[in-house]
Amino acid sequence: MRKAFDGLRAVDNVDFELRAGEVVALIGPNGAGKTTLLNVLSGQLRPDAGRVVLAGRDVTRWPPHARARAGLARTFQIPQLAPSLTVREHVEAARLRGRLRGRRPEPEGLLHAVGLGDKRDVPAGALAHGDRRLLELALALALEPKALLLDEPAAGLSPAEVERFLQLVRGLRAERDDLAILLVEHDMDVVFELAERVVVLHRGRVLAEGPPPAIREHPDVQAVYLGARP
Amino acid sequence: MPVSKPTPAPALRPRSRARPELLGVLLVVGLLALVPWALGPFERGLLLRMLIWGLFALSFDVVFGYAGLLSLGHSVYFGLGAYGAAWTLLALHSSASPGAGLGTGMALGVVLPLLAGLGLGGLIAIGLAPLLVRTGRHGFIIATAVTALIAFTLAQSRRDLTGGDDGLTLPPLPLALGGWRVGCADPGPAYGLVLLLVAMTVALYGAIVRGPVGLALRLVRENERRAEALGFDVLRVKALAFALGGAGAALAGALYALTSCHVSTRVFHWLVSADALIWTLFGGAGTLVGPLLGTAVFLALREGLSGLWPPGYPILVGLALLLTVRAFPEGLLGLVLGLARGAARWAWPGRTGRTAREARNGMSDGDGTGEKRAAGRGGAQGVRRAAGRRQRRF
Repeated sequence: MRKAFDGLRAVDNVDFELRAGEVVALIGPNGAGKTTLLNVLSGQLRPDAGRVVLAGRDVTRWPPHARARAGLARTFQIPQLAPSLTVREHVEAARLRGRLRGRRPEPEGLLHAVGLGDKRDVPAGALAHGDRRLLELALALALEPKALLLDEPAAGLSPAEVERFLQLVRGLRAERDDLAILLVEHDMDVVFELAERVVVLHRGRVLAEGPPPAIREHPDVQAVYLGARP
Repeated sequence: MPVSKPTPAPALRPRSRARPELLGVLLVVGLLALVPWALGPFERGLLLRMLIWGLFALSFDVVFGYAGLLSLGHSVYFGLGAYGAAWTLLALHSSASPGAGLGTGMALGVVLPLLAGLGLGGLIAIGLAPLLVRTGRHGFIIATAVTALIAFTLAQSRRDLTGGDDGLTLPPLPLALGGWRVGCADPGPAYGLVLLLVAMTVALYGAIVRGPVGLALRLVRENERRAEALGFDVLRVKALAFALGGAGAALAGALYALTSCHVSTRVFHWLVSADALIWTLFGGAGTLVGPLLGTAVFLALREGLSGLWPPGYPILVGLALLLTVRAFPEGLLGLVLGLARGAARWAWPGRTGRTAREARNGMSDGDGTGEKRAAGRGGAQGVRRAAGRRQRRF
């Protein structure tokens, strides 16, 4: 897959697979193309070359809403919420469309699970940053996705909130063993805690790929993260 | 408003707040149904215009307040509704034999023109909606203004059909109650028909904007990326809002033509859309009650002030409008609800939060929920926050 902006190749010949029940972390320095890759996967951007395949179907030309309905949920690096809609209204909206329309978990249970149970009548615009992230996650889960794309979910969270997030994802893994999760994250503790496989992106290319311990020891990765040119 | 009730259980809340709201609606409709018969023809006519233009403003607000799309072409569907009804009324009038009984004439002579107006305006709105919403948020304003200009110019150029600036003179609606017939100076029984249809349409809009469709409209208005990520086809949601609003405008136009004995090409002008914008902002955008209230108060103000100082009344009306919108960004409805909250806070000092919430949930929608946040901070600061938010949205 390839995506360029004004000749700058943001994502260049990246080819990877996210299998059911797998947690893959996508890491790399700023500007490596992580968010661009995520946007191509979720349909916000069209690739210049290559294909996006979701559960055996070529969705390269599908708009974002069709991919969401087909079971691809995502969260945003900067929470994307409707300020005047309450927490509960957001979750209800998420239940109106998508794969299992109407047969989704009750909003109450979902909001309790992410810890927003007592804030369901609060407008999203009045939520604290950490709660906005939790709501983003709740909305993605409300779609009952097959694949979940998380764009820096731990950014800006307090250590306690990060711990809560980790517990949530672990609980989710235990509950749904067919859910595929792609995690874009800067916090290496979170990455090494959750991921079974790590893909390192640098200047739009895959620099390294493998299980967390191997990646930690990888010389090229160390060089990139220490600021040296590989 | 149930200010003294204990906290209802979450599951029961919708019912407990629906009851006082229903009572309020019944009271208003009852008054509107009974009072005019005791009034003179002029006051009856004023109420009639408030209902028709109020419906027009509400149909505009479905597109503007709920879906966040500023349409300057809303007058097109009002105009098509008006001319669709007018042409049908004229055709029926010229073909009917003078001796025909009023009974069948009443049914056909009223229903056919109404359906023709609604059909013409509504179908064209449905047809244009998918094209217009594709133009993007700012392009949409321009594109809809262009549709109004085209419609106006076309109507002007076909004087044989539209009557141009002079317009068409229409016969009174063939409708009678006992011996009381509809006249050009006094709507008489037509008032009852208009009240019935407007009340039904408002109820229908209410059911729509408070249900899943309303949720989708508000979500798209406030964050399109979020709406997409949740599986909503943003263009389709917008087109739906536009078609719903266009159909309401067409009905208002048909009622206008059928009750005023006259219709001219002026109804197509984009300034008519701007009127709806002004009334909606005045009353409270993104709410059901706001546009109706704004239109009624605006028309009453114009009537009162034009008697007071005939040459300068537009200045006075404009000033009153400016002050209201400046001081109360949520419009008249925001002012009324703010006063109700203040009174409740004064009377039941310990219970402010819940009272305020129930008052708002009962009356307003959309921006009302946004106002909740502002009101939580209390007083002027909250209102100013709401003002800031509104400015960002436009």
